[in-house]
Amino acid sequence: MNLFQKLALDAGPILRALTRSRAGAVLIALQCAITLAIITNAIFIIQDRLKKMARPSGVDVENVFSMSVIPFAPNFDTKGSIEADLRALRALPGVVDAAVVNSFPLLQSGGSSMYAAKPGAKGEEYVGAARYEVDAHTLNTLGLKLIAGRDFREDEIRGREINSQYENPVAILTKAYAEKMFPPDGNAVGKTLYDGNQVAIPIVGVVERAQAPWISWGELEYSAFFSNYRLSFARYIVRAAPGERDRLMPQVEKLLSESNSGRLIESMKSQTDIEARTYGEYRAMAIILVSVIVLIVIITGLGIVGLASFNVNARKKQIGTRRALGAQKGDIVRYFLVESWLITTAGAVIGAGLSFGLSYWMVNTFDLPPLDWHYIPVGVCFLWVLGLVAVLVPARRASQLAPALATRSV
Amino acid sequence: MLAHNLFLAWKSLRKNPVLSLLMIGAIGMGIGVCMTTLTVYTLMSNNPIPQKSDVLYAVQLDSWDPNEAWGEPNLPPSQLNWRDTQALLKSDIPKRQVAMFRSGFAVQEPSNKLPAFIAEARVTTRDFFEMFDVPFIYGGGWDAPADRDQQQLVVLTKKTNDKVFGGTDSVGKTLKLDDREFRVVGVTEDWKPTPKFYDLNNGSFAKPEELYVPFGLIEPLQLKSFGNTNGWKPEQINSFQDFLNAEEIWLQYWAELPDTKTREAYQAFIDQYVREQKKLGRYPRPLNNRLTNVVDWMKVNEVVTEDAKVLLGLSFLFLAVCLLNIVGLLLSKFLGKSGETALRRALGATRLQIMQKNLVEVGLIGLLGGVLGLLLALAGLQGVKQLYRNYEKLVQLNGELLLVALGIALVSSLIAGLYPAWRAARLAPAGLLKTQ
Amino acid sequence: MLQMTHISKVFRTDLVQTHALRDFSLNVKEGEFVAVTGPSGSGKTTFLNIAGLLETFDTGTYLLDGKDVSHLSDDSRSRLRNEKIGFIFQGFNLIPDLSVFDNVDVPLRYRGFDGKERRRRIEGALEQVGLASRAKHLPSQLSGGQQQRVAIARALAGTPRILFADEPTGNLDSLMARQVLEMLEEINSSGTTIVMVTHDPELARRAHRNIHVMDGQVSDFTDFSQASAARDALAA
Repeated sequence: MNLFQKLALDAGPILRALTRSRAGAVLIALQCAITLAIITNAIFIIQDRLKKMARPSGVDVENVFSMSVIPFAPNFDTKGSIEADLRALRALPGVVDAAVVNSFPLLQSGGSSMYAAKPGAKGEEYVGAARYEVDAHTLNTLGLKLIAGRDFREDEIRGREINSQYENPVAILTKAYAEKMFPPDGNAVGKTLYDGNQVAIPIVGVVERAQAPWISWGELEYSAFFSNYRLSFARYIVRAAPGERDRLMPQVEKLLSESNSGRLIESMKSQTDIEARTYGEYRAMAIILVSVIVLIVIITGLGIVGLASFNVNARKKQIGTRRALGAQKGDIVRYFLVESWLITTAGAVIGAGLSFGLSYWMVNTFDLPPLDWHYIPVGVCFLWVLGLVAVLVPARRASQLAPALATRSV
Repeated sequence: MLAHNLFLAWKSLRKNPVLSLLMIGAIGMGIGVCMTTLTVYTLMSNNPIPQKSDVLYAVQLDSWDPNEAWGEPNLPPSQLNWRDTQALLKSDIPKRQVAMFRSGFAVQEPSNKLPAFIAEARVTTRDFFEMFDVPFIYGGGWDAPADRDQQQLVVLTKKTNDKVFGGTDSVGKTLKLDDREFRVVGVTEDWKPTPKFYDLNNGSFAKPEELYVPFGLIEPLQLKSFGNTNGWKPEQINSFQDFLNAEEIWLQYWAELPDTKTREAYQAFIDQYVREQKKLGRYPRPLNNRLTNVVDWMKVNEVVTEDAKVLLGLSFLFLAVCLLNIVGLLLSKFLGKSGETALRRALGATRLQIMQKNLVEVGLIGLLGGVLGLLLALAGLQGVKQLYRNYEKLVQLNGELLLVALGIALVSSLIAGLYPAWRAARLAPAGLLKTQ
Repeated sequence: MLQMTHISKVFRTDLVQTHALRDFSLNVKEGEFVAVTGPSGSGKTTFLNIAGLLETFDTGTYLLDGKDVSHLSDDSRSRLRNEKIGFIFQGFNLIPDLSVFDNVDVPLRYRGFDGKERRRRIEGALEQVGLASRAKHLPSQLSGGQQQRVAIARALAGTPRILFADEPTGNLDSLMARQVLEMLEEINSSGTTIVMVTHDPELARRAHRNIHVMDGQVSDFTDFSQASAARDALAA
């Protein structure tokens, strides 16, 4: 007879014994049920967050850093200053490239606009995209991968004031946005994008990926680059050679603040920091939920240990009798394992329902996707293992009880 | 009797140290987790200005896209455009009213000893200070003309005044903002409404601005918003003036309406205004103008994050698990002592007395668990502080929450103990004296 | 059937050593009904535990059914108890949460019989003790005498070669005690060896042979086999 058959054989009378008494077993089962509901939903949320955090932004995260440029002196030659700064940055040893942009992926600040694929389009034919106003070095600096067409040319680049129209802009789209605008194959190069003012913007290239600045935005992968950079609220981005970033950052800060006193350089940050900060709440939620899971597993585990220990004490005589009647040590251990397994299984059945109930509540109350059913069997298996591991020590202690307890009058 | 019961309870806890620690630990963890999330939740839903929250109203005009509401369900935009604020400011119905936005300046002190630094600024009409009860150390706000004319005046916060003027009375002194001379008219006390209800656009728990300048400077100095600017209508914008006249929304607007009559009058006023604008071809959406008080405003803007709500819900389920755990352990403990209980009953203890004795023990466990829970909550809040850098202000335990924690601990453990204590008290005195 | 030679057992605590059995020798033949008597503390329970393989001993040899069980592993001892030995305890030792049927079933499951075989044996054993109709009852729903009969059924269901009874009537009133004793005699007459520990001389006299234990040693033999044979003859 193999172990599994043996286990199944034991289940009958143990189950019958359980149904006759033991408020304790019911309590543990309920505990397991709620634990399962919490664990499945928490893991589901964690998975959701981790998945979102793992999406690549498209940027060469390790090597890029950025800073804001804030001119404040009256009659400041913003354009001249930006050009001089970028020249100086590109000349620094260790710098791969530098560019001026209004925003970049995951910055949490930026702009978006609606564009259409044909002139005179109606309202619903417009689709929003993150609007990146950049220069000819931006793709190279961010490390974006051009998959069709070409990069911007220097002669296409204009610097423009914030409240002014684009000047002969050309555009580069992300693949996702190109596919949305020019279905089905997203063949956008050579085609034209129209903004709300019916300005025609020729599309010269498509990049594989460049996320929008905001992760909460619905269409994270819809972005468009335009060959007009902005003179106010500008940001410099710098791409360092591998391993050079941390050395370059203070050096760049010093260089720029000393070279010109009519503008301020602010919030110099690595892209690693920026992305971590952008996903900070996701990460925090994941960490808190992991802690909650760990704590609840400890609590439930200890609850099972506590109940089993109590049962061992309360059933000393019974265990001795079973031993006298021929139970081997293994039989006694198995008895407690099967009992625990039955309790956790009862808990799992209630818990499966509870998990969906909790998920239903969260879906209705919050903007969360419904629980994927796969999490239930995984959670149930986990609960089983927890129940068996937790009961192991008390069960072993029970098996060490002397058979002679049977003849003692306790 | 209580003292004696406490003594017995303590002895009983000492007798089974592992079991006792397990129970205290379980309730402690439950309370710790709950208190952590509850603290974050209460502070997020904190009323930042309780004395006036029911008379201050955020003003919303639905100037948005005819095809699509600003937000669901049919929400009007949370900000206004320049033209409409100019029109609204002319009304004398509200007791006070404020139009404002977030901007920033490069600040230089007069002697130029400090390097210039960027300070966030609130560009606002003068009622801001009285309307939101902003306390002043020196001076005060500016006079009404500054809201319309170019007067380069500034109110500093204590922090900025400390930085630039070493904390001295700087009223009448000047400093440079974006290389222009501004005269200080007042210095405010540190004032950090949490959440930052009056402008929730850039984070509900964002730091307050570091200085305030008059609304009248927007046009002459072409002040730009550091906050959100949104538009729906394709418009030719070729100059700052074009921008001011556009449908782009970027200004926050609040009105102080002390009673229902005033509020109704003001609602009628803004509705009338929008109807007139409709005649001019603006406001393509159906009439949907709203006045929302502070508390509702925070709800509409979802100041309490979903994560905080999810965590609060989960942590109360967590507490439920801990309590079930304790019920189980207590049941084991009390029934395990049934011999002793039977003996006490045989010696004349009433059921009530047994119950009392058991409940004192439970209460003691709850109290110790509560203390442990508080310590864990402190640790938990430290952790939250590490995880959420913006929430630093959120994570302070105050006395009230302290009492709540102990209360929850005591009440929940007593509830958890009721059933086991009753089960134990119900045991027949005779049966258990015999050997099994 | 049971052959103990020079068995000794010492219990040690920090302060004292107790010689529970010393140089204890006993021979029980197959089919015998032996009563072990003695005052409390004399070592009769220790004898029963060792004889029933519930406890190990320090020195000496013990042959059970011709097999040396002195150095068996814990598991093999369990196996032997299960297959060759039946126990009847003073306190009945029924498992309160299990029905009469499931109680009798306990040792059979350890034996590894299949479901049909177990059912046959349980029903047979309950029939034999006259409790077939009570199979679904819980122990708490039965009288003391009935509970002890369930315990006897449990001991018999595995068809043991030897039955150990520890004060089997200690918790029963005299009427029930007589029923139980008669049942034991009946079992014995069908060939099962019985060793009964008791302090009741009345009861002991019903056995073929009395062994009196004192200070961990056999102090006296009384053989009633002739008398009982005579009585049996009379009865017949």
